[in-house]
Amino acid sequence: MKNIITKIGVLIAVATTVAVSSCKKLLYEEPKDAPYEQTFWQSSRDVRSAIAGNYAMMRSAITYKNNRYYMYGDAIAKNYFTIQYSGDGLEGIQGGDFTFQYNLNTLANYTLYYKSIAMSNLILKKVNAMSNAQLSAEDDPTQFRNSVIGQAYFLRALSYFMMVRVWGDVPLVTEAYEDPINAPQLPRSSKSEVMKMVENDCHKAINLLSWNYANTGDAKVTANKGSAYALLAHLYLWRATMSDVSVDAPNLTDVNSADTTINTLISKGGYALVDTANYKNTFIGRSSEGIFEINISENTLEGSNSSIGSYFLNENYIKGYGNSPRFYTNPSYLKNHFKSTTDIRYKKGFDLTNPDKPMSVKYSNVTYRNPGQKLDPYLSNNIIIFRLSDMKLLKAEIALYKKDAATAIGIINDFRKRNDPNPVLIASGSTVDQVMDEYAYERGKEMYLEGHLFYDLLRTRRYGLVVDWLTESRFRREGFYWPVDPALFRNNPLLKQTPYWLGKV
Amino acid sequence: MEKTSTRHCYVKFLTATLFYLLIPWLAFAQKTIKGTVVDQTNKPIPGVSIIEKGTKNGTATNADGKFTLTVQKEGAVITARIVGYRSVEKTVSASGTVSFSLEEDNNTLNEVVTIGYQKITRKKTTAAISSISGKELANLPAASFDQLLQGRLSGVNVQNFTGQPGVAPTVSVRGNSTGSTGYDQFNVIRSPLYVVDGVPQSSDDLVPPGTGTGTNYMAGLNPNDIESIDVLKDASAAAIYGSRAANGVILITTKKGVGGDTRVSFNTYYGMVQRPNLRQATMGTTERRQKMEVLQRQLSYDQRVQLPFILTDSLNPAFNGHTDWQDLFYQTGKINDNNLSISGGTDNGTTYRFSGGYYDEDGIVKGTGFKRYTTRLNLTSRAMNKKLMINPIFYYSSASRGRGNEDPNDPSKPTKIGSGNLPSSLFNISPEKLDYFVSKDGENLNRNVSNQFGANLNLAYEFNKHFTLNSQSSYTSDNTRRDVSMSNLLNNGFGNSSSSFSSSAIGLRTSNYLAYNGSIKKHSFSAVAGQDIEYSLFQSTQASGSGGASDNIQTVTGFKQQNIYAYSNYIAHGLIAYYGRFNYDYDGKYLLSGTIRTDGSSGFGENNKYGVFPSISAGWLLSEENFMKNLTNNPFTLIKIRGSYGVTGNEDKRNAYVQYNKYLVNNGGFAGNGTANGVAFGIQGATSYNGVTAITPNFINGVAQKDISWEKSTQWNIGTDMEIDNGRYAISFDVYNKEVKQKLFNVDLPVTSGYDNAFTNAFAVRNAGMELTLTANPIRKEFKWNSSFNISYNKNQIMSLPNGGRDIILSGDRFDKNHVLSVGSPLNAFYLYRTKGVFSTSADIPQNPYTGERYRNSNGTYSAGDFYLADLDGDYFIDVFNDGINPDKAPIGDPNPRFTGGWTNSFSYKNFSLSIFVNFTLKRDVLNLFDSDRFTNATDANAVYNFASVSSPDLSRLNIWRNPGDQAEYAKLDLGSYRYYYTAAQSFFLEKGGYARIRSISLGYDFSPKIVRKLGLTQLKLYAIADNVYMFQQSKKLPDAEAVSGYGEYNGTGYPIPRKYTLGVQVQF
Repeated sequence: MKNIITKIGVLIAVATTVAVSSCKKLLYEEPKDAPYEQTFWQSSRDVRSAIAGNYAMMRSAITYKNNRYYMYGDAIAKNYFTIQYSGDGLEGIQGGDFTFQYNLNTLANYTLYYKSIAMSNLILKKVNAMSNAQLSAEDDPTQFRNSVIGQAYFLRALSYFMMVRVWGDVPLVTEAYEDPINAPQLPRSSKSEVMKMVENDCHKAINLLSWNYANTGDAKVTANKGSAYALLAHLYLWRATMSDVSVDAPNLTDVNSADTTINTLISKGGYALVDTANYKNTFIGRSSEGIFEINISENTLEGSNSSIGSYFLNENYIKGYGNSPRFYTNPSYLKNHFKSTTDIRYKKGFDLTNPDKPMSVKYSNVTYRNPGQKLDPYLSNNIIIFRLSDMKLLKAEIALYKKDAATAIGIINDFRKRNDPNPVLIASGSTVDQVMDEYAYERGKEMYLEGHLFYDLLRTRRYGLVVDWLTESRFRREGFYWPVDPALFRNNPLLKQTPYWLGKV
Repeated sequence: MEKTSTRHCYVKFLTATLFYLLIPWLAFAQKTIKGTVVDQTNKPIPGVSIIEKGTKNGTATNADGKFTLTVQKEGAVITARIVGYRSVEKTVSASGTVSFSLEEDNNTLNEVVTIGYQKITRKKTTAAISSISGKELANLPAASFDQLLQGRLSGVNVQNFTGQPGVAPTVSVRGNSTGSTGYDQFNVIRSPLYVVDGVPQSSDDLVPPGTGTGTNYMAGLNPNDIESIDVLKDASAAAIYGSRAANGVILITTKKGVGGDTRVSFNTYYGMVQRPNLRQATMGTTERRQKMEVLQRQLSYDQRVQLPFILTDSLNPAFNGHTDWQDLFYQTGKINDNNLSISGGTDNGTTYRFSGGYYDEDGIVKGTGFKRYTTRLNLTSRAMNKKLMINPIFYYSSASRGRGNEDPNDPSKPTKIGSGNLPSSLFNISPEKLDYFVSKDGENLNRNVSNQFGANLNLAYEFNKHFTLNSQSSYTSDNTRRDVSMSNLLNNGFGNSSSSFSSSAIGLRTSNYLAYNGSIKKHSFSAVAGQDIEYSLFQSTQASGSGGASDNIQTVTGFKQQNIYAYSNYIAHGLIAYYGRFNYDYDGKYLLSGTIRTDGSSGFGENNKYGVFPSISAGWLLSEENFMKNLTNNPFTLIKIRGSYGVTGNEDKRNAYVQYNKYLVNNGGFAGNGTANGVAFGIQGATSYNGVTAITPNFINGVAQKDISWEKSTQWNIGTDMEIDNGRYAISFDVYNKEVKQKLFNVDLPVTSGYDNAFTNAFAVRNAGMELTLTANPIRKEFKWNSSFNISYNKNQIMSLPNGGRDIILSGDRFDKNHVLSVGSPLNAFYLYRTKGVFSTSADIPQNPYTGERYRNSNGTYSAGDFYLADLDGDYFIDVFNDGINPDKAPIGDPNPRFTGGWTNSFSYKNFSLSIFVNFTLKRDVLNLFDSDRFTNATDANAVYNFASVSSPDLSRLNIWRNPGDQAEYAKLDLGSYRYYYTAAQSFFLEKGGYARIRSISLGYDFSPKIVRKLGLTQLKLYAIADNVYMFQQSKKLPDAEAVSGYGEYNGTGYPIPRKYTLGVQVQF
């Protein structure tokens, strides 16, 4: 009998031992199809992919939906171009009504920017913690780390800057959450706080980044010191003019900061304007005047089949697109802005085959993935965020804020002379106010469809020239900001609607 | 005090054990006895177990019902036992001959049921278990047994929503508790755990829809090999399978060899599958006339100038067709099943059974069908003084399933033509296009094969009468392959394409447990304790290419690099479990049972690897009490009252790695090149930024969770079993409440965290219901009548949702967003506008009293002839947006059936037998998308063209609004109005989905033993079966109220459930 008990005992003991020893291993299966947090952040190769991921998230944020970068910056400034009806209600935003459901769900929703920000925050946290040994594949690990961290700061600042221009106050998050499930819901922080943070991030980026790129292939489409300076300059001007919209006089401290920032950028950046003969190359990207661009290039299969440019192009440019593109440039815009038809930006920038519905052909670098049958068209035009002409024109704006009409006239006339063999120049002795009008038109010509025009009109208070839905009273009530998608309120009791839209959404 | 008594018991028990062990050696004489076993009609019964009582010594009768047995004791008592007959004991007479005449038994009390790791008599169970014998399912024409369970077991709801051979039905035990934030018609109902011969099957669908073979995993098991099926419904029964038992457990026991001479049995049937009735469609000139009428009424002169040629150019030979599209792809199929088995055994306890089967069914849609080869070997042998039982089981099955020309993105659509895009009959079809629509595969490669192999080794060592050590080890290996290629023509001229998918799944399992049985005086105990270790590995590889240069290329080769897609994955899963069960009864009157299982899984977070699943149950056999026994004329032979409470779990292997934040590689997509929000599986589009591979955390739902754990389901059950007159009538009734808590579900995270949502324990569903089974054998003479009826009621309700209980609209649903998850409503309730009728005249249209504005939606005001959708929020405005909570829609209707059940009646007279089986589903709502989709083609941008080129309903048969003042049922057929009043998401299209179906009628004739013996056979039976005979249904508009998806939608594109007729013969020698 004891024997049996012993036998049973032994068997159970053996079984238990086998089980317990194999237990640990059996209960820890690890994924084999993807890196995960515990296995990532080990080498500079990981870091390169992570920062590429951060740019990609930024690209995804500003392209969804309907290339929102241009919707906010150009489309809502109504009279530059027209979006035609196609059932989705997008055209409604051109009338200053941002409340149509589909637009609220997409354009009024800032979620995608926070994904890019979360990625920046994560890079800041993880890469800071990586040792030089882990980055030893790089020639100079310290410099590599600085460069990546600097880019992450820049990208975070850029996201917040884009958001502060669209919504004003937005939630501010600067940490990577250890446990996102228990992450707090955040209220909107005031725009001054947000802009302060953008300023600080830019300064940090400037200190960490250098003017040159270690790898020339990274030039323009990743951030360097120049990119951060350009962002900082824009921030200063926006803050100078938009912190308090009840008055029109800018904050001169910020204006001066913008001035010195741009001066440093121009003198040290090594940027050069592109010969007007190669006008369209600037908008393919990586030109000598590019400061910061988002890569959209078929060279790396990163072209776009629905870029802003393609909405304007017909069958002659892209096979299969038909003869009535959804967007067209307003003839009135051309009439108001171009006093001479010899301007290179007029001649090369627009196709007037159909005079009622001119096409903007600034972005028309088409590649077919199936070249034989001309199928699968992709546009290879980078999204130009900052470029030298932008900076140069801003100097005119700064001069005007300082009541220096002469300098501004000089800058604007230089642009006209450069681009037009028969330029119509601004008469010297024009008033600051007159020159400011001319400045707005010059921006309209130079920066057409680059995501800047609406903000230019707000800063310079020249929205009346182009945007008929934005009355002065609406402007004073900050009615140019976007509402926040009601879906974002569902779980967040701290969130408040943009004041102008309270009760309207 | 207590301690002493325990020791006392222990000593007693050891002594008793010793005593029993010595019994064989104490026997002083041996004697050979002979005998015959016959039934009441004097027919010999083969395969009856003949056992010397109190020993392991036994044999079985041969084909002539004869046996010989050497007994070890003078005056031994011999028991003759076989399922379906009442066991008889006789004392060996001096002559050495014992003959038995067995009475057929309707008493189920002594029936043995499998409860997981143990068997127990039905009388002693305290759990809710439904059982069915393989015989009842035999010969019915279906590819897999799960389809056949429909209506036969209380608490088991099977909906054969498709008639496609080899495709899984939906099976749920005691209601559905699967909720998901996304529309996923392939996982809307999770199957129970299937356990075949003690081995849990991985029927988890690891392959996303649109890939893989799409074949029902359980179709690999030949229904003809099944001995019995037991369904563990309540927690006390299922808890022994712990972490996987929340959806119920279905235990399948396959046939074993029976002692006696070698028996060969052959069974074959052949039959036809009837082509279904076609849906009514308008044809030729009728269609043209009706369409022109609509257009002329609605269009202005200018618009009429541009009428599509298809309507106006009737002289054009391309447009003067009379094509019946449905006719093109339906056919009459055939069905054929052959089974051969050889079984037998020897006196020393060895038994064997070998079977082979071939099943072949043609689908009624051209190109579809299912073919299966199966083989199974079950050996039992005894060694070491018969103390060690060795039982290896081997099986192999290979199934191939033709998929016809189904929609590659939606395997639930067997043809490329649905209700919304059935082309106009006016088109004359070219042979090439015909090929495109209906070709099976033409010249192209199209293979879709699933192979299953398994080897089990079961060992049981009996130390003594009380202790048995069991060891079950198994290895399963499943392979599937799907190869398909399409020619340039089938791809509309975009070049040939091909794809190849293959998967392999390996399962390793060992289960070791010790069982104890014993009794002291009136106390009986049994217990089991053990440990399981399981490991499974699933790997799949997929490759595809498109835009190829030659139709001769039928594999994935020769495609341009950018047109090639390749993918492989690896999912491993480990499980360790410890479990125990004890059963106790006092005097056969009071029963108590408890189980506990703890499971550790690799699929859960570091802090929560293990889950504990306890259960307890008790029963009272009232009929054993003396006061009941002493009652005169007491008709009850059994009254049992039982109750149970317990916890079970659920793990979804598809989320095997959810505790890790798996980073997204190649996450460079954006609007314009891939997708803006990234996709969790297989990111398409740009992979890099500036040529550098983009890697990010999975910001969609990749939060790493150390605390994630099992879904837990708690359930209580109260039931009673009663039998009258030894099983002449029996009643079984159960009430239960099952609540799944901490169900894995998507919870929205703060936007500012960067993450969208996390898949975590946060969701609760309750299923509560009742089950009733009645069986009766009212006539038991030469003419016999058995009747069995069961009905189950289940009510399903969402108890809590994450994020403050906010309603959730399923993502990925149709444009109309027809479903909602809402606290208090059933799972996947319909989310609909309430239709109040059709505006007869414009005076009927309400006006906003404050603004004077007419009732409208965001695209304009309503007019006469439109549907009147109720204005639930009272703002005189119908919100037509479809992507969120809609103030004018409400959760209406329940897609989950409330009542299901079935009724079998079997009659036999002399050599004839007849069985009629009816099953039913009642109180279920169905959304008739087919009806709505026929009208919606014409509402969007290209309205006139779409209206002209797509088939339309026969308007002359509908009470449709035509002129002001019409009191119409259907609203006017409007072209391009954007008023969306024909949206499917309205109560107008909600139908009552109840039905009853005469599922099968089978007629059999057994040749009399005389004739059979002359032919040298032991059995010869002919039978004929009609399957899916007739359907009664509440809805007049639905073609088949069962052909409805798990979401309760009928979309008209599914696979009709066909009628089958078979003739068969069963031979044994």
